[in-house]
Amino acid sequence: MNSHLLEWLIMSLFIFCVGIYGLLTRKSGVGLLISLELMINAGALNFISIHRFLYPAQVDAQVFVLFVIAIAAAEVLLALALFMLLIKKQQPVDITQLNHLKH
Amino acid sequence: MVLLPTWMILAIPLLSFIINGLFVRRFSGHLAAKIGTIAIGFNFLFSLALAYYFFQSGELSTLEWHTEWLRFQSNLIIHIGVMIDPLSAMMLVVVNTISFFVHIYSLGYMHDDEGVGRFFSYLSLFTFSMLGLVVAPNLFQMYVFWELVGVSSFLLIGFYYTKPSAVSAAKKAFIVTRFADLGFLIGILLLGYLGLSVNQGQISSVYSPLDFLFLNNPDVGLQLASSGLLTTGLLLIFIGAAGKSALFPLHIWLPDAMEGPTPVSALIHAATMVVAGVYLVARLFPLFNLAPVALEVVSWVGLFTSLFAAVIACTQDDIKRVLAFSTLSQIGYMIFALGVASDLYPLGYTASLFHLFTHAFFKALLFLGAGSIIHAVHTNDVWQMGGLKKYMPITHITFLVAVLSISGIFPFSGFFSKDEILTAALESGHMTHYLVGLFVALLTSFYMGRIYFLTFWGQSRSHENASHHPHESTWVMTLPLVLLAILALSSGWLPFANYLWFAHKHDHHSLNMTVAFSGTLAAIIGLSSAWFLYSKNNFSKVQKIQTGMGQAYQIIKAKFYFDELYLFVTHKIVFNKIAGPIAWFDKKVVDGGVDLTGEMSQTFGQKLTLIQTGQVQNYIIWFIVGFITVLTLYYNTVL
Amino acid sequence: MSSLLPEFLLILTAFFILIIDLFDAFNSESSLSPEFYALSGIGFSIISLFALWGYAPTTYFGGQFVVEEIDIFFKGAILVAGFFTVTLLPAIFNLKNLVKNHYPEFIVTLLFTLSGMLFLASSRDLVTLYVSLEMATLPLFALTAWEKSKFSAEGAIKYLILGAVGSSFLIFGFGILYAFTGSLSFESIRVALAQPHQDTLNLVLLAVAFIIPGLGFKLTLFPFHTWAPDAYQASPTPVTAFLSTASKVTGLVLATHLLLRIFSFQLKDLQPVMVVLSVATMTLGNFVAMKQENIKRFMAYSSISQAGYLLLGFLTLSPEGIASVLFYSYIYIFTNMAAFAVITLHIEQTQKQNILSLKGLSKTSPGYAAVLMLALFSLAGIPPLSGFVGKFFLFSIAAKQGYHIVVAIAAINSTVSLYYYLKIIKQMYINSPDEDTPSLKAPLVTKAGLILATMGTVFIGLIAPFYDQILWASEQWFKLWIK
Repeated sequence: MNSHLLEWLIMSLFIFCVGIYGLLTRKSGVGLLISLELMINAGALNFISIHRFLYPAQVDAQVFVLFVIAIAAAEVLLALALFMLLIKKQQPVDITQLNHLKH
Repeated sequence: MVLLPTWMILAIPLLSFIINGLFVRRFSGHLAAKIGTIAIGFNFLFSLALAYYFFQSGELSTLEWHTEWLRFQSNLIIHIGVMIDPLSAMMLVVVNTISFFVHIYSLGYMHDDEGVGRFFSYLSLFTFSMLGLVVAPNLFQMYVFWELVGVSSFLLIGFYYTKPSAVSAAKKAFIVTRFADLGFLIGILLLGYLGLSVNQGQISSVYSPLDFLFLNNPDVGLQLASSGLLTTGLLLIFIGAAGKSALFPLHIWLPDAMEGPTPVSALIHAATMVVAGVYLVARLFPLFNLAPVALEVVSWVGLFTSLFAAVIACTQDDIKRVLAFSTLSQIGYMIFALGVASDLYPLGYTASLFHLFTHAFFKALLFLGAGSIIHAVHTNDVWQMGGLKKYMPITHITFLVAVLSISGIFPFSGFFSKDEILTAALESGHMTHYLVGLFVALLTSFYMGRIYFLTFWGQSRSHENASHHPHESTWVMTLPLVLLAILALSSGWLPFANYLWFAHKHDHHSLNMTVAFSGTLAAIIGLSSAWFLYSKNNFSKVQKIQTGMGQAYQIIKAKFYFDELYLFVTHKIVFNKIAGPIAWFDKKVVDGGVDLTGEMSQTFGQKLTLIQTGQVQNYIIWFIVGFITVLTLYYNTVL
Repeated sequence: MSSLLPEFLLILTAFFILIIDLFDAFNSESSLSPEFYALSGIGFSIISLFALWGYAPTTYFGGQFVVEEIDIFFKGAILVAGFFTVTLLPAIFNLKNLVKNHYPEFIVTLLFTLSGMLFLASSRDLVTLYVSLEMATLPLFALTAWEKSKFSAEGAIKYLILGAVGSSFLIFGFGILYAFTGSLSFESIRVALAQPHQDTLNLVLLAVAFIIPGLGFKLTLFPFHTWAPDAYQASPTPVTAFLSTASKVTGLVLATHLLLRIFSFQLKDLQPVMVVLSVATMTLGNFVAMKQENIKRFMAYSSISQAGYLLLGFLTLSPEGIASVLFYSYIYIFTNMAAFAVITLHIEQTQKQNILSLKGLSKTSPGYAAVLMLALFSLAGIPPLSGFVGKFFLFSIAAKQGYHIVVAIAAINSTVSLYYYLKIIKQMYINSPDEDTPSLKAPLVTKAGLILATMGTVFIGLIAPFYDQILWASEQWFKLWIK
């Protein structure tokens, strides 16, 4: 396999792990969203790098990535709408405070 | 097939039980009573038709209907079905007839009882169980219905369930017979096991080791006998028979069973259930014939029971108790008649079954009559009765017919059947049996006469208001009495030996004059002694005899203290030493184990709920843990 | 074109309702309630779906949209679940509070979710799979939060975050899969995975390891199930019902695609993983359900354990496995919907979600209590209800394939489940109700749905031809393969 590809893949894995780290350590809701975006885009990066180095002729990966980006945006939109709901109820968007539903 | 499929004879009482028991009795007990009576009436006619057609056809036995039920192995298949042969055809007639008459009688006797609907459902259940027992084509089905009969008997004895004595009587009956059934079961298993190793060479392999048609086959019998375990198996089975038929020493439940309503006593504890043991031995008679030791045991047990019970019956004051002991004694006759039979002298077989037949009618008549009396004077104690022949003529005459029949006076039916038994004993060389049997006949006529005279003759000793005279029962109750009396008169003339025989058919021989003469003499001595002692109003002679016999009299009256002995054994030994530790084990170890599993599950569940902490980040950690686990597991498998 | 009709009809109905709502026509006195439109829409969709029966398999969009016989059954199950969910809605919403409750929007969102699920069943390549999966899931996030309370927001946020995590794992895994052939269609990936190169084995490993969590999220397998109790508790009760049935079937569809259409050659090696997941899921679901006090949370754990049982059908590649899973899904849908109907009515009228609040239901509303009792017994697997038949098939087929120990564990778990179902029945039948508890009243539509669901609970298991048809369909599907 192309060594460049390997570098890109390792980087996407690294970004994914950064995303996970952020997911676990952020208190604010927006921080979570940022981490999620990181993770999703790491996956997209996978696609693009493989497409670039292995299968440049087919556009399937590009299509997929476009959809991924769009859907990620939709998810974020939904998440923000839910955060708005919390704010309206005078709750801070603090993930650690969201622990009323348990056991 | 007689107009209708044969299994209908079982289905009708079962349906009656289900419909009455589950639905009708809740809103109308009397409707349930009528439904039950009509159902059994139909059964009665059907059984007569069946018997008629069967004996006309001249076939030896037919498996009218059967279907496979359980399949343990390819050579051990249990069928349920209906088998008609002379024995079961006769029993069908007996059971249905008595049941029908008891139903009609109960329409009157139980009319004012609250639980009348329940009563009739139980009667249907019992009829169904008894019929199923009687037509069973194999030991397995017979055992199943045997137990069902026990259950029905329990329900009926304990019918007045608010009375503690009734409840404990029902318990006693069930436990004693259940205990005997253990022997029965082991015997069945033994026979089945022996049967499996029989070479089925010439025999059609259609039959399974527990089928009667298999067991009674002569070739099979010889092979079973050669195994050396046949006697043991048959004796075990006989234990079961002894329990159900209340033979000594398992007799203790029958007197107490009188706690049930009198129609129950008439049906179950006189005519049908208690003869199940006789039926069982008769059913397996070809096998018993090949095990002379077993037959000997049978004959002695029967003889002893009959003597033992007759002696006690002379001292009892409760009219139903006397009749109960009388039943014990008569069953003893039937059993020992079977015991003295063999293929050389097969008369005992026929005689036993003939006596079963006639006894059913006159014993049921005696019980129903006693019921009529009790209904009228509201007491069971003969010392509070007296002079009833003035007020209850029909009951009186029918009762008298029955008394004469049981005493064995010509031309009543008991004369014929009892004489045949004594003849069988004499002719097969069992002298002791013959002499003791003769003595018991004397005792029988004595105690029956005693009852009769004390109840119907003399002055009324009733404690009731003098103006309130007892009156005859309604026609619903007296009609069965009359019908049974007719049967008690006429059934003796039936050429029974033409229908039920073993090994070879007799020509209906002439009476053995010795037996006839000595039997009648014994009966006359008994009856006249009773007349002498009890028919007047002066009982001083009786008092003198009682005090003269002193201690012996007390022991006999207390039924030789057998009940107390059994109670002692069960309480002191079984409860304390055996049942106690087992109960402790059950409560602490078994129950404790089950509770422990429950506790552990609850704790486990509680621990697991802690996974859901409510914090999203914890959830994500679990997610990642899962990912790593999948990775590791898959890695391990792929490598 | 006609094979797209089911999805098309759903979307059409959705837009239709939206337009009517645009003109505020639902507010007037003489208008039909939105659920009738939805019910007819779903009804027509079902009809058009089964009208496809003789024409399957059909292909559209160059092989990206395929309807095989087995897909007809999957889609049918999802549509039935949707149908029953809509019948539950009138109990929650009423037209008077239209603006506040956004009832038409709710139905529209539900219809979109349904169509996404249908598309998912027909997808045959990764793009379609991912897009339709998200189309099925995203509206559910919104539906979970519909009550706009603190709790529902919390539940929805947890659902969303974990959903996004699951999606990201999926995407990453798909990316790795893409490396094998450069094509995104299932068939080419499957073929490429048949004989993986020695040096690409690690990649396969990674791909599988990333994709399984994504699947586990949707199918609520342990330990990816953690969103489920919170989301189920937080959502309005009809949505809980929908989640527990349709979402579960969607997870099964996803599992079919991933495990059987893509990783079919890896399935043998995946067995230990699957067994562990299945056993862990059913055990966790069962044992935690014992300790629950909230009805909806309780049903969540119950449905988690059902997912554990359902996974048994995927252990080997055989038509009977899928057939038993599908058969059980249908039974499960009817049973769950019957139970949820009663639960919805109860929660709506008493505003109490505690199991203890069910006490004495048999005296105050005997019919409903009986329905709930039947449904719970069916879930526990008591003959002769359908739940028993479904479980019987599922377990016996798994046992026939040799997984005796797993089936034994499943049977033990099934027995344990009887305990907590009986606890509820005990509350209803043995405990006495509070003073003046009113009896449950249901709108006509809900009652009709309830009756239908109850009949399904009792009778579906007894209809042998139904199972045979499913079996035939899955065999047809398998015939197209070379194993």
